[in-house]
Amino acid sequence: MNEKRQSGFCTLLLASLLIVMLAGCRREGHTAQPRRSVYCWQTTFAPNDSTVAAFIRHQRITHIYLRYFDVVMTNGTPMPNASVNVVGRVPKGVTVTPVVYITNDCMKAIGQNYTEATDLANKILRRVGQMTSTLQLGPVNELQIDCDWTISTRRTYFDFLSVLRNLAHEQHLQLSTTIRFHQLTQPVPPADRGVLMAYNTGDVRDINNRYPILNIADVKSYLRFLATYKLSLSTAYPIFSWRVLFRGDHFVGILHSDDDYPILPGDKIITRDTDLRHILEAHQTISELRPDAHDEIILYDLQTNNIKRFQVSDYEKIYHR
Amino acid sequence: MRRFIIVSLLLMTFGRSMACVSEKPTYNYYLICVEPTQQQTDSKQLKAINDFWKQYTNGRVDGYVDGWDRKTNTDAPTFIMKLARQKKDYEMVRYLGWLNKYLKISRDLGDTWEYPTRKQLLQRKQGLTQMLAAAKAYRGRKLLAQYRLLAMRANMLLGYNIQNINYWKTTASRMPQSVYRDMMENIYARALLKTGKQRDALEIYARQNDHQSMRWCVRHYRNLSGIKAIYARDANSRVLPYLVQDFVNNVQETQDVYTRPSAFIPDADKAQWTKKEYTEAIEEVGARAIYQDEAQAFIAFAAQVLKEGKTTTPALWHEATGALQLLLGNYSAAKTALAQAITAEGTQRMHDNARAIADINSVYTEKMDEQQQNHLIKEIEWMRSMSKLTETKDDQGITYVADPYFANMLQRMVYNHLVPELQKQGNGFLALAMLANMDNHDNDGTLPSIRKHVPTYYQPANSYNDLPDWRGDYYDALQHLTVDSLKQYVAYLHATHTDSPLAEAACKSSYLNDDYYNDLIGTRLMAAGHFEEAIPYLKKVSTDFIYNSNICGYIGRRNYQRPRWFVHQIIDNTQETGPRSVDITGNQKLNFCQDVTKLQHLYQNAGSDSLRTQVGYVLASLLYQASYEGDCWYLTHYDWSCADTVRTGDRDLILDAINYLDECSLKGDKNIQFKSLYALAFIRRDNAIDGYPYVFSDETVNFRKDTRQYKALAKLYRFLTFNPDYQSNPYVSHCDVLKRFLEQ
Repeated sequence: MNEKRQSGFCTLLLASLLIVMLAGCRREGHTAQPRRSVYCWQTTFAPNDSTVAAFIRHQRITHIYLRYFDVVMTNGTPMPNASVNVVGRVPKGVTVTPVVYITNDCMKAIGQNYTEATDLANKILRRVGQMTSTLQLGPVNELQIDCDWTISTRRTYFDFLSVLRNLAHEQHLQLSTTIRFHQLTQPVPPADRGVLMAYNTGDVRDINNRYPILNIADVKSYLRFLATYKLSLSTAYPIFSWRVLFRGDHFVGILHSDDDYPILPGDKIITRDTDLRHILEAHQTISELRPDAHDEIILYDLQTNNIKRFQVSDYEKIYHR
Repeated sequence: MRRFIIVSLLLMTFGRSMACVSEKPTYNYYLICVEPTQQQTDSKQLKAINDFWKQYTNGRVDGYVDGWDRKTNTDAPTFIMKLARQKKDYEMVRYLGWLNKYLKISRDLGDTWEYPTRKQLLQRKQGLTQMLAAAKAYRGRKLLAQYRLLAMRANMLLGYNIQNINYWKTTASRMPQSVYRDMMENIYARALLKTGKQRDALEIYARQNDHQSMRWCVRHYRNLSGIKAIYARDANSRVLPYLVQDFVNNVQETQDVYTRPSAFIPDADKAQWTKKEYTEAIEEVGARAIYQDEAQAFIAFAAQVLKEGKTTTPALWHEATGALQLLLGNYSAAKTALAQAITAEGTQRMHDNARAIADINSVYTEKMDEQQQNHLIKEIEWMRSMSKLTETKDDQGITYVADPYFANMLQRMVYNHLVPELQKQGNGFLALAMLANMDNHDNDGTLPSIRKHVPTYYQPANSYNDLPDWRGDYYDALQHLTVDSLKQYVAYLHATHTDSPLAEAACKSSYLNDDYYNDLIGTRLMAAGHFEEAIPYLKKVSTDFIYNSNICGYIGRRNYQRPRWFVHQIIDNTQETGPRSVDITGNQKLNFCQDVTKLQHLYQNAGSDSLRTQVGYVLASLLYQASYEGDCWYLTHYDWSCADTVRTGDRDLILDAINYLDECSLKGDKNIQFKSLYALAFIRRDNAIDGYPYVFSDETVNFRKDTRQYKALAKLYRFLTFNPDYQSNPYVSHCDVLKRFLEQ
């Protein structure tokens, strides 16, 4: 190969690389690796538990969405319930976002009462602050609200979020909220960002639905709203499974323990797993529609049984952009 | 269904009386109660603990947590601590210190909006650890049970469930039987539950009748599948009576909600309810929806259980079958099953339950002959005696029925089954007598009789709403009788009924106060406009009775002779209107009847227009006052509502007044004409103005030209135009309505 040809080849190679790089940037615009996060939804969070600690370390988890408490209607008033008990210290380099789950009943009860919405927002913010301090989980930069709101409670929920966001900003906190697939069809909630919950896509009550936890085909009709959904998004993928009890092909319940439901001769207990294939399929679809939704990938949720479900290499695939 | 719906009809008060109307109870109490209720269990436990403190303080305080020493006005924990120090009982002083600490931490632990600080959490943990150590280190005998309970409580709050399981097994379970041991076992059950041993925990909760914990554990077992699963596990599980009872009562609740959703939500439109809404309504009261198919399947399963012979309480399964058959309307099958339940092996409570349900069922299966009547008399007496057995006194010394089951079953039988059946059979007076009998014995169902054949009006009462003489099923039924039927019924009550033992028994033990019935008949006659006919009845009514009646406050403060259109006799809201609220002299109703009768005769025989119109005007004024628009509505009724109209069987006294006034406005002297026209313009009937006569100064009023009252105002206006002297009459110059009418 003569020098001229060699020089020409180098020029061509550089040009090709530049084109590829430019093209890549134009198509995706998100080349950095996603932030690796997990949800922790249990009433006890033990970050020092050896399995949990190892998972956080090996998977290079840098962020935990920790459910602090639920808000449920108690004697006609929204009250905190099932507050998390933290046993041990969160590993260095791992940050926490407090999550508060509010039942839709609370939104129904608040209705259009602005004072009550403001009162609830204040109470939540104050309690979250105190819990962060007491449990030594700070500093936190964000607060997340989870609520399975519906069309009938949308206005209340959005008003509540507006108030909460203003209050949170005063404390230099961002406000995020969970987004279920069906909620993509609705107006965007007044939050700084959202987490797309890529699970519970199918009907668990249907014995013929083998993948009710996640099958992107089940939410196909909502996906057309995803690309243009005007809210910065992260995506949460499931790693849990369900043991579902059916009697005569009719759904009875999800078994959380052996004695949870009466089990009669002839009953079927079917395990509904999260299939890696389906996660990756959903991953691919979401990547194509909303690449920025993979700036952060979150696993749901951090339980010993769940995190043992997949191989290390599988988690690498999920956490990959 | 143990639910009372209270509907405050505030609209009905309208400034006159605070007439809050409570919807009558449905009497649809649950059929089965084979286990003591949570309340009963709690009361028993609390009593045992309270007795300890009572004894320690020589009766000065009733309990620890909420107790109080009235002599020194000190709360129980402070008082007892002081007392222990005075006694130099340092062992107790130390224990009280720990107990107070435990109670404080327990209170602080609940999920509230105030989350503790790190320091508080640390102090809490340290406090509990020290408490645990102190409890374990106690070597005395006097407070051993209390200290062991304290150890388990500290473990529980520290989350040491395994330690509690071990502590129970090695130490606490060896303690002699006491309320403290029961509480320790309950904590042990909680530890079992927390460590995944739900079945073992459940059996303890069932044995202890801890319904609240049990209900949570079996929240998914409250159906036939749950019963089947528990039965398969253990045919004699302690949970089964609870689940079976719950199942039958849930069938009833489901039926109730489907047949009467308005019992929950007054404006509910049943036709628009979805199944989800029905289910929500059922679950709102803690029940579960159980439909007919599942009830039928239960009956088949119960038959299988009985056939297998593994159960030691077949009475329970027979009883449940019988109750379900009754609910499903299969009375004959119910009769067979309940008869078997009474004799089959089971607890006394199961047998008694079955007997009460069988009594209810007998209303449908037995002919109302002498034998059945005698049977019902015996059974009613039995239910009352069973209720009486549980009469007890609370801390304030007030007697109450601790177990209302039998009182409830009696009410259900009489009100919901026997009375409607008797009415259906054309035996209305006996049905009424049964209501009277119930009213006399079982006023509030949960309370023992407060009447005891003593006329109610002698019983203390703060306001008339407390008097059952003028409210309740019996009074309502009496109100629906015609005056003639009422007279006949009163005669029936006083008669001897040799042909009907039930009638004889019911009448004899009913409320037979003559004043009450004479006043009732007299008042009904007055409402019907038969004033002269009412006089002999009202003459028999004593002043004492009126003084003790619900309308005493009105009678004593209002005067029917003052024309309503000139004076509104307001009774201040701060003044009582009930029995004995004001001194009265004589019987105002009687006086009214005598006055009206005299005036009516005078009117009919008046020789001149002048006299006729003078008398007519007074008559109009009196009749209007006695109408529902008048201040003296109490002359013709025992209650009043702003929504009142002419009630069925009543004479339209307002129309009578209008007729008199119409005549008087045309004839007679000018004064009478003026007053009559003024009265006609005032009368609310067929209003010209919305809200009149309550028109506020800044209110815009719209006069409707098609109304009687508009025409009356126009006539008055014409009269004033032609008779300007009357324009300065203060009633004219001060009348806002007239002023506005003139402006328009």
